[in-house]
This record gives sequence, structure tokens and C-alpha cells, in this order.
Amino acid sequence: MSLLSVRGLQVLFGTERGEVAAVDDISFDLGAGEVLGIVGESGSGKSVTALAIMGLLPRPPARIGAGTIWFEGQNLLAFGERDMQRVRGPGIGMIFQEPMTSLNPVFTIGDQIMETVRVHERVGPKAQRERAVEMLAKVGIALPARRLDDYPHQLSGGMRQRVMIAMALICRPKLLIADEPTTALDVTIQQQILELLLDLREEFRMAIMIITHNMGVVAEMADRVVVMYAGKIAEHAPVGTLFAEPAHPYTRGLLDSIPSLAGERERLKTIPGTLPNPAAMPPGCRFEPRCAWRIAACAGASPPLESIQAGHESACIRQRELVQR
Amino acid sequence: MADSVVALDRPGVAPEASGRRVRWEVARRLLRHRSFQTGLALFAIVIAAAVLAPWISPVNPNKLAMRARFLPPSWEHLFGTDNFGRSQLARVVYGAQLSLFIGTAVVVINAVFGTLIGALAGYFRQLDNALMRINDAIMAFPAVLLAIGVAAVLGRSTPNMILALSIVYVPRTARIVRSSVIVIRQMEYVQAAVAAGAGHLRILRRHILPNSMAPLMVQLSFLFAYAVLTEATLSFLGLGAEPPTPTWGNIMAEGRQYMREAPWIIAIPGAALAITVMALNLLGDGLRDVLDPRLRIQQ
Amino acid sequence: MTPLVRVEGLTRHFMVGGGPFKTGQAVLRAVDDVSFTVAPGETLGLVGESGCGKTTVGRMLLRLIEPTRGKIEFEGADLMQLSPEAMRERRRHMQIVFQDPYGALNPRMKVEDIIKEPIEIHGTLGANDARRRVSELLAKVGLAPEHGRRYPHEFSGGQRQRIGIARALALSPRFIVCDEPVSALDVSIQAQIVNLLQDLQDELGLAYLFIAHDLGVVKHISDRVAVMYLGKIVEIADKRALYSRPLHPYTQALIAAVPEAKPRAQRRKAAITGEIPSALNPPRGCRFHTRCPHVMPACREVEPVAAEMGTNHFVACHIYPASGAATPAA
Repeated sequence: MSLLSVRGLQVLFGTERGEVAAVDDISFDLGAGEVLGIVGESGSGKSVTALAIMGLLPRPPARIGAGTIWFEGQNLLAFGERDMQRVRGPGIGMIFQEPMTSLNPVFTIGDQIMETVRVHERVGPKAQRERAVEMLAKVGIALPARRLDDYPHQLSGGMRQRVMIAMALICRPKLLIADEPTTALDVTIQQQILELLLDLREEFRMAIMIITHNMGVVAEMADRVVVMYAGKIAEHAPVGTLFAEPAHPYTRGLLDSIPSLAGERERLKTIPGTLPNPAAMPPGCRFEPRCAWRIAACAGASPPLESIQAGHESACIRQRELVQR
Repeated sequence: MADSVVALDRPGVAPEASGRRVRWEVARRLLRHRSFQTGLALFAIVIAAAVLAPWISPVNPNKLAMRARFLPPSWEHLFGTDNFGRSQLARVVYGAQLSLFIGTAVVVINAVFGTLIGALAGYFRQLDNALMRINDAIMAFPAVLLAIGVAAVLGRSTPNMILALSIVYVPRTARIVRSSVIVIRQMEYVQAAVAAGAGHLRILRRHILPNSMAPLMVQLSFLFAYAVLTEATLSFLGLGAEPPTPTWGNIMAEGRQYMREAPWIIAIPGAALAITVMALNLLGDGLRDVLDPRLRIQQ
Repeated sequence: MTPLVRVEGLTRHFMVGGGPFKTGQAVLRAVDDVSFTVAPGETLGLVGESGCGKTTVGRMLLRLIEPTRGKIEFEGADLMQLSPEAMRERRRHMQIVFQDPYGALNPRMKVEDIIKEPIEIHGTLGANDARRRVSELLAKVGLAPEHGRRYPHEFSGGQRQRIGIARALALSPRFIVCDEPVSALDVSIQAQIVNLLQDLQDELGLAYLFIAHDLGVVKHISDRVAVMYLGKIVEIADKRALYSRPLHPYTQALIAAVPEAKPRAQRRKAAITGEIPSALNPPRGCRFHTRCPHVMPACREVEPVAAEMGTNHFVACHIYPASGAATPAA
């Protein structure tokens, strides 16, 4: 059985113009120790999905419209706040994009890390401190005992992100959700952090759900990938297959529009147009207005996810043709 | 596939407001805000009372009627009469005129001078230090004390009252404008204007001032309330307009001695003051809620 | 061919911190002795990580930030020597596109007014001609004339960036500083804007200083690339030479650190360790020595000087003997 199983999740947001679905009927699984990459651009609903799993969506204005989130055999959506608090930490940990705003500036990082331990385990201050030092060392911070007394503003972006990782992992969760963990970091620091995440995943045998818009990061980190567009899943495949044989025009478009260090092209192939307005979604396939492969049938109904081969699904009615080209 | 952005962009662009000015959007939201609605309604009543004074109470507020002294509120005298038999309704309603006039004058002066000083200080760094030191020196005095001082030195009169209140509050307004200007000055669209060769005047006029107005507007609504309140305080202390001109403050001052026999003399102007201040606060709350976060959320 | 832009010894120091009477302040060496040229119609890419000073360099070229020291020559004229009027005149030929599409446009101005403003400032066209020019510019960047009557908040990030580009083009400049123009945009929109910039360059013969941290985008659009680290340029070369044969250890590490959009069987090892030092207290000698895998004793003491290794390929590193000239650390 999978560690995490999302089924038919729908998240609605109340706006001035009525309720809008940020995430509409998505389902995916994550096995123990696996790395799942969730790729999408702004408005795809990827961050909302992560927050829904953690129970961190502000409700109102958000509301779970439908679906279930199974974690270790229990439906998280049925949990009250107290039960969720018990899951956060030892069950699921989360790190965010902006380490500066995720850390409280008026407390030392030692305080913040030890607090996490304190909330979940019954150990005394000395033991808490030891755990904190041990964890900081594991995330690659030099002189960890001294760093405990530093304030967030005294650390660089990369170090703050390491502290965040330490906080998220100190209770040895089975699943780590990383929401754009390296987007705000310099590229050399990003590389270190990604390597750290993979090392820790091996050591702690934990699963990682990494959310990003960077296809390079996905290629480096993920075992399997879910591509989201406008609140729905466009494609879902093992990482090698996704890059080699993308079966959805959006995935193709994303891959084609990346200028890589390797190839040389005169003009980048682009995806024309912009994301649809969530309050006015196209009636059929949401990608249809921008799609180079569209046919009449595409505007009719939203295509369901269909399997093209084992473990590879795409929500495009022309998926077979795409893979053949 | 051609990069035909134009046709494909249409669905992506917000369906509302095709060229509708930001101002109408804001007005619409304001009118839907509950606090603002309440405040606006109450304030409208006060303004109406002041403007329609001659019709609401045709009686001269200063007309003595010694046979009708200390009459409690009744159908004939809606607000009762005071120790000189003067109609309280007339006095309170005419007093409203003066309070609102003073409040408006102070707000206008603040808007002009506060913006001038604040913008200069915020935009020209060389002037900032000097201006702000003077500013802070004035702000260091407690408002009421300073107003008393100025009024005492210059004498009692409505223009002097307005001057006193302005001196007290302009520094605070200037600070608010200055903060706004400092933030806006760093915005990239200002840099773009500099890069295009714009001079200081154009930058201030077209870019900085229009975008700095939001916090100022919120401040001005609260300022109106402070002005009315402080004026009442000063009148109460005997520094406002000369009697027999009615102001809420001096009506309350005179009514103080008769609090036991004729409590309505002090209570009614007090209530009027409280309602006016509350109305303005609600207006200010509404403005603040609608203006500040909206302007920051650009997406 | 005379370069369009020639920068020599460009330096910018900021004074930070300190007490009430400006005592005890520290010097932030944001940009230190930077020199390069940009030829007409060329794109010079400028890359580097946080604190390298690339944005400051871009702003200084337009004198939006005043240099502490150094020479900036535009079409042969030293900008630092110009009178305010002459400088204003020069501004017509050099413009800037900003990173943040949300902060770069005045929210209270209509799009057509935003684009028209540079024209109004310089009084180059009458009202009718100006209006026509605005429509022309909107079309050039892929927008429709009626978009001019709308306000910035009605557009998406990519569209706002197009408006910013239209504004930069209003006076037909010859040189545009592109300060991370696509970093804040989604990947699929980035490609549109990069293509747009390239098309405009081909059509109008523009020269760009393209500042970015995304090496892939820089490689795609640039002719030559300069790499900065902590306020200094460590390497400049033709893009092909830089990417295929990077000489400076930092350039090598930077290129190696970019995650490639191609899954591989084995994991890469991190190219360099350690944090980027603060520009307030840069390391002595070569500023990169604290993280350099090839550090030598000389690196800790002496700042390397740029030397030419091959055609137009400059490196500032002690590994390359020609640049080991003894310039004691400042």
C-alpha cells in the first residue's frame, strides 16, 4: 500500500465572484522512500495540493470540495486540528520556498528547532539540545552547537534552508514535502541543498514530494513526476519516460521552451498565450486554447487521465500520436 | 505556431474593468464595506444636521428666553433648554456647523502642508534630516498641550483654533506622507522614469504623489475626528470661540455646572461629539481596509 | 569597431551601518573595478549569484546609481563628465527593462501613458504621432492597440513585461540593460519574452547587457558572457568558449551546478561547497579562494589580474600564469 494516496482532491477558494477550484479532481500515489516530483507553473495548484495534505490551507477562504488524502491508511481530511498536529512532524514534514519568512526572526534557531522536538516528544531540554545539534550537523552546518544561538537574520539563505530542513526532519517523518525549496537560492547553493535532500532521503528512508517549476530539478531528484496544469493533472510518468516520451502537449511545450546549456537553437519553441482565468475555465481541455495539437473534440469535454503504458498516464486524447512522433 | 499573443491573450486578461479606472473599483469596494457604510451614514446625518440647521431649528441659538430655562427635552424643545433658556437643539446644530468647518479646514491644511513637507522630506534626502528634526520637535509636544499653548498665546478665535490644530497635526501627517514617498521612491517605475530622463517635478507629480495618497487618505479621516475632538476639548477649557457662539465644547463647559439639574445640557453635545468621532473612525477603518491591502495585491 | 559601451574600473561602494554621526561604518564593496565593452548590436550576458553586483553594474550604466569611481563611455562620451542636460539627452539612447513586472509599471497610469511618457519627456513627437508610435510599439511587443487604454493590473506578468519592453523602446534606444527580465516569469512565458527580445534585437539592431542568474537563458541570448563573483568579473569570453571551455573554477562550478533537464543514472556531486561570503568582508586575495577546489597559497594573498587566454577570453585566476601579476590585496 502506498504511503500517501490522494484521490479525487478538489480544493475550492471563495472569491468575490463565487467559488473557484484551485485544484480539481487530482489523484496520485506516493510510495515509501520514493521521490515524487510535482511540476507546474503558477496557477497549476501544486502548492495548494501540498498545503491541503498538510492541513495548512486557510479555511475559509479555502474549502475541500471533494476527495480523500490517505496517509498510512488514514484519511487526513477527516482529521481535526489536534490530530493533524500529531501528524505534522513525525508523520509529514514540510519545507517552504522562503526560509526567511518561514523562520521566526525573534527566536534563535536553537529555540525553534528544539520547540519542534518539545512538541512531539517528551524529552528534557538537554536532550532537546542534543537532538538539535545532531540534526544541524546532519544537514551540513559547521559548528552546530554555536549556530544554535544564532538568529535567522545572521544566516545566509542556504543556511536558513538547511535549518528548515533540520526542523522538518528532526522527528524523522516518513514523508517530506518540499515546496520550491531551492527557487530562492543561488544555483551553487541549490545544488548543495538538493544533494543534501537526496542524502537524507537515503539515510532516513523517507519519501519526498518535491514541488517545483524547474524541469532540471525534477530530472535530478524525482523518481516519478506529476505534471499539473490549471488545477488538473496533465501527465503522470516515471521520470525517464516523461523526459524521453512526453505524452501531453503541455509537457512537451515545457520541455521545448527550456534553453538548455547543451543544445543550440535559433529560437525557443514557446507555448503561446497565458494561463486561463480560474473563474472562467475553458469548457473542454484546459490547455486547449494554447495547444498546438488541438482538434475539435478537445474543446468539448475535459479529457480524463488515460494510461498509455504501465505507470504512464496522460490527459490528452491524442496521446498515442504524440508519443509516436 | 506563430506567437500570436494578441488573440490568445484576450481570455487570459481579467474579464472585468476594461479600462475602468482604479478609482471606481475602490469606490465600489468602499461602498460595500460595512464599517464604511455605517460611518458614512452617521457622518451624513451630522453633516445634514449642520447644513440644514436653519430649517431644523429656526430659532436663533443665542436668543435668550429666561422664562423657558432648564426645560428638559420635549416635543417643543427637542433637546431642551439651558440656563439662559436658549434652545439646545439650535445650539447643538449650529455648533455642529462650527465643528465641521474647523474639522474640514484642518484636514485641508494638513493635506496641503503635510503633503508638501512629507514629500520634500521623503524625496530629497538632503532636506530630510533638517525637516524631520523640526517635525519631531513639534511632535514631541502632547497635542492638546500644544494647542492650548498656541491658542493661549494667539487668543481665542476660530482662525486661531484652526491654526493651533494645524500646527499640532501637520507634523504627524507629514511623517505619514514621507514614509509613503520613501517607499514609492524605490519602486522600479520611478527608476524607469529617471532612466527616461524625467525631472524631479514630473516624477513627484505623476509617479510619487498619486501612489502615496492611500495612507494619507486614511490618516485624514482619523484626523478629522481628532480635530473635532481637540477643538471640543479646547472650547471646554475656555480657549475656543467666544461665547455666546455655540460650540460643542463650550456648551458642555457651561453645562458642567448644571449636571445634576439639567444633565441634557452636557449630555447631548457630548453624544453628538461621540457619534461624530465614531462615524469618522468607521470611515477611516473602511478606507484603510479597502485601500491598503488592495494596493499591495497586484496579481 | 568602436564599442557602443565601454566600462573601465567601475566601482561602487556602499557605506552601511554605523552610529548616529556616521561613525563605525563598514564598506560594502558591491562592485569593484569592473571593466568590459559592448559592441553595437551585441548581447553581453552578465551572470553571477547573490551579492556579485551584477544588478548594481546595470544600474550604474544608466547612472540610476552613481558610481563611486570609474569610467562609463557611451558612444565615446564619458557619461560621468556630462552636464545634467547632456546626460538627459543621452538617456534617449540607453534604456532599461526591469525584473519585477509588478513594480515596473505605475499602477495609476494607463498603459499607453506609460509607454508614451519617455516621448513626452523629450518632446520628440507631437500628440498624434506619439499616439501612433504607441500603437506601433504595442504591436511590436505582441499586444493590441486597445490594450493601451487599460491599466497594468489587468495584465499578466508576461504581458506586463512586454509593456515594459515597449516603454524601453519608445525613444529608439541603441542599448538596453535587461535586468533579469525573465526571472520572475513562468518557464513557458520566459521563452516568449526571450524570443521577443531576440526578434527586436534583430529588427532594430539593439545592443543588450543581459543580466541574469539563469545560465541557460544567458547562453541562449548572449554573444559574449561575463561572470561576476563578489563584485569582480572573473571571466569574460564568447559564449561558446565560455560554456565549452570554462577556465575559471567558479565558472566551472556554476555551469556544473545547473540541474540539467535530463535524468541521469548516477547522481552528480556538488561542484563546490561552502557559502557565498558577504560583500562586507570579502576574502583577501582572490575572493573565490575560500570555496575554490584549486586554491593555492598565492590565492590567499594576491588578487589575480585579468589576462587574455585565447581570443577575447579573459580570466582572472592564478592558475593561468599570465594573470599571476603581483597586485597585493587592497
